[in-house]
Amino acid sequence: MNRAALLLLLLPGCSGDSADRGTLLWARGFESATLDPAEVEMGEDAKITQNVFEGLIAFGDDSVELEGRLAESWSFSPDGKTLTFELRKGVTFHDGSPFDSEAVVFTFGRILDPAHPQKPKAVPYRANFAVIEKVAADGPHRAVFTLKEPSVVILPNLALFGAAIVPPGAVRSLGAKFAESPVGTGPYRLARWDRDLRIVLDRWEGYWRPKPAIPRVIVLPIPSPQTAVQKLEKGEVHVVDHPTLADVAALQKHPATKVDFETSLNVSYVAFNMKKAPYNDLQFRRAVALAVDRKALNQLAYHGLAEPATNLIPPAIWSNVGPSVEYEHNLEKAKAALARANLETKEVELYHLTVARPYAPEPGRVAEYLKDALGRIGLQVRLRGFDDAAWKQKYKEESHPMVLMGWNADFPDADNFYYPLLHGNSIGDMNGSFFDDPAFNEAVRKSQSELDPAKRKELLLAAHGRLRDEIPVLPLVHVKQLVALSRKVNYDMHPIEYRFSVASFRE
Amino acid sequence: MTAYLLRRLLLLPLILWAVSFVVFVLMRSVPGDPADAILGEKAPRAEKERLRRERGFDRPVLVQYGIYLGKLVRGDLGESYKRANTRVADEIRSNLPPTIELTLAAMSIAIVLGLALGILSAVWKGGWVDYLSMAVALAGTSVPIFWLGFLLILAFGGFLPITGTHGPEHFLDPVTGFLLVDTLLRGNFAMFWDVVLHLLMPAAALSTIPLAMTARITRSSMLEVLGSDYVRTARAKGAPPWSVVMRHALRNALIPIVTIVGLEFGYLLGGAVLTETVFARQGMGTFILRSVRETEYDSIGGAVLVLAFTFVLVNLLVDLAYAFIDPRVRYGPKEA
Repeated sequence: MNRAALLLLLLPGCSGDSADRGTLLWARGFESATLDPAEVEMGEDAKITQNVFEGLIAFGDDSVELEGRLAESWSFSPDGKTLTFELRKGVTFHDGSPFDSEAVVFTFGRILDPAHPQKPKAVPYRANFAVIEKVAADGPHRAVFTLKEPSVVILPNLALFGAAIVPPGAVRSLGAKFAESPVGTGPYRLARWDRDLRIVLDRWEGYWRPKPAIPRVIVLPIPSPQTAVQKLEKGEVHVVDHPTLADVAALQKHPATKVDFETSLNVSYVAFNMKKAPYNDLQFRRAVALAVDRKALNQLAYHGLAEPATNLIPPAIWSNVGPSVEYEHNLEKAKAALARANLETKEVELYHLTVARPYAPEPGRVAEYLKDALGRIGLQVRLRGFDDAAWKQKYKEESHPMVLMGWNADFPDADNFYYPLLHGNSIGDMNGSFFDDPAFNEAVRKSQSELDPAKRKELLLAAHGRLRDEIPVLPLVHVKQLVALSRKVNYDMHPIEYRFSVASFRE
Repeated sequence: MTAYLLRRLLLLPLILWAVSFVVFVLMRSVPGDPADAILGEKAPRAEKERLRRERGFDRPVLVQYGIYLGKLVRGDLGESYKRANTRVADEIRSNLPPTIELTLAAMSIAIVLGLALGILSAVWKGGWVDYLSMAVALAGTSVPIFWLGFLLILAFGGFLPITGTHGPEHFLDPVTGFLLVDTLLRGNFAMFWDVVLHLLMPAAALSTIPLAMTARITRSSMLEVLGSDYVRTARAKGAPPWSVVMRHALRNALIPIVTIVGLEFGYLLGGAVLTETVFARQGMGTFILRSVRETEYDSIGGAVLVLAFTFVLVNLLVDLAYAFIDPRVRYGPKEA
């Protein structure tokens, strides 16, 4: 090694300052698997496709309200079974081909038809669009969706990453390669994908909306959040989208970094197995509900960075439906309820996942808190941790006791909580309590097709009432979403999507 | 010699077959379902059933293994279930070189420093050099890589790049896949230097355990040889002290050291998993971790096979090296 090299070795900041060159370096936990929006299952894939593609409908700036994107407007027929979209004119895909009704028909053909000639490798969200009977073009700028039954929830689903519009020409000519060379209408286009190393996105100069401030975004997989945070502090990246809650205090104090919070669309809850004693005993469930102090739980297990739940549905969504009523925390009442319960033994079990999730970054601590809280009313709780696969096995056997679960909304609607988590039809999928209440089932089912907002609210409130009465699940907290940022960067988190286009460098 | 070599090479397919079988059966006997990984936990059962049928995950394990083995024999390691257009062989081709680079870098550090520490502490047995280097060796074996990795990052981050195989804004079209080689071939010296800088911390973190092992083995092996008659004779006839140590003693002490170094290579390949995760480096470690997380059976199987192959090959090379180090070692029938 010569002396110059040695000197270079000791020079700080060899990596260079990319602010000058206008490149945003974005660190995340894992690499993408596919960039074909129809194939996207996990958030890391959606993170890229949301910036490359657009759907007919989108979530608003900094809100979960729906607005037109590639569609200028939409309308339901009186019977609610026909949904017509007026498409935006003059929009082109990254390959220069025009966006029109053919692209819409083609996109949904691929999603819905398992025998489509350009079918994706797998369509994880096909069920979300199952209510669509067919999609037809009515002239180049109008698309008509025929529904099997009236559906309100199809609208937020059409704003999902899975419903992003793809260009027929590029998909046909690229074939399976489309998933690694995506072509959309979004603000960024894929410039380069070095597998396991980085994804390079360049600003699309032909974008029809205001163009992003930053011309290039490089997305890097850095599995360990601690390492990623170190990198952020040393100025090697600008954004870390997976910091742990435990890092937040230090990140806020550090002179080079800051943290941006966003309202949560998730929930952490306890599900009681309604097929197994004593968990199927309402008095037992009531006792557990009264024993939990959500404020203490938030401090002890979530570093104070969660919102105590008043409902299974996060406030950002529920505020459109009804009022929030705090859960009561009362040990005397809890003990009284427990005394009325028909218990053979005071020994109970709580299962929990050992893998961190957005709604339970430290699931073990939540479980420990519950053990302690229930200990105060005389219950001895045995904790058992499982990984995903082992838990699924237990669930199949229907042998679990009460279990710490959680859910991250796919689309911001109460239905996305009630149906998959508690409807009778979802037993065997995600309904962890085997709750199968006729009144609840009917209210939820009807609310899915009720086009009148006022009547729909009533149905959802009725469903909510059944949950308050029966307590098949006990909501705990909603965990805030967060990103760690360099102070050189302006970025405002969106409740649902990661939008690179809103980022800019500070002057 | 040739017969010995042939016999060892013939054994290789048998070992690989056994490895493939064990991995295949193990992977499928632990809970886990590729359909969950592909469609996500939220997808309805019916969709998952359809996928299982389509991809043959619903068939008996032995039948699945038969199909897998059939492809394997034709040199086909399979295809990623979930990743777009991804053959397992291609994934390994791009992930193996960075791991080999890391392993060789760590190995070089371990051998050079380990030998030096071992020799010094043997020569000055009981002196402060001895105590110091054995303390270093003890620390080296006891400190876990992930912890040491973070310490290194805290200490040197800012001077040295913290993660990755190279800076995110260096671009290179691969030739061999080995970054140190490719950057030079393409004449991209700035990137070459960047790659070297990125290699230093992870290689240092990964080298500690083999370094410690090498130092200890070298010390004890050297002590034994230094006390032998021919060393005393060499000294008595007036050979310079360091010539005695390096030429007479070290060469004779090398056999156990080389054995350990060969074994260490296997350890390093395993340790690379942790190191690559802490330093977010591309490589077999992150690849295996990712494949396990995504229940990519074929990727895991392929990766383990390749690592097993490498391990067997290195051990064979070590055995052959004995013959070069010690002329008394001969393989094959003793006709002389």
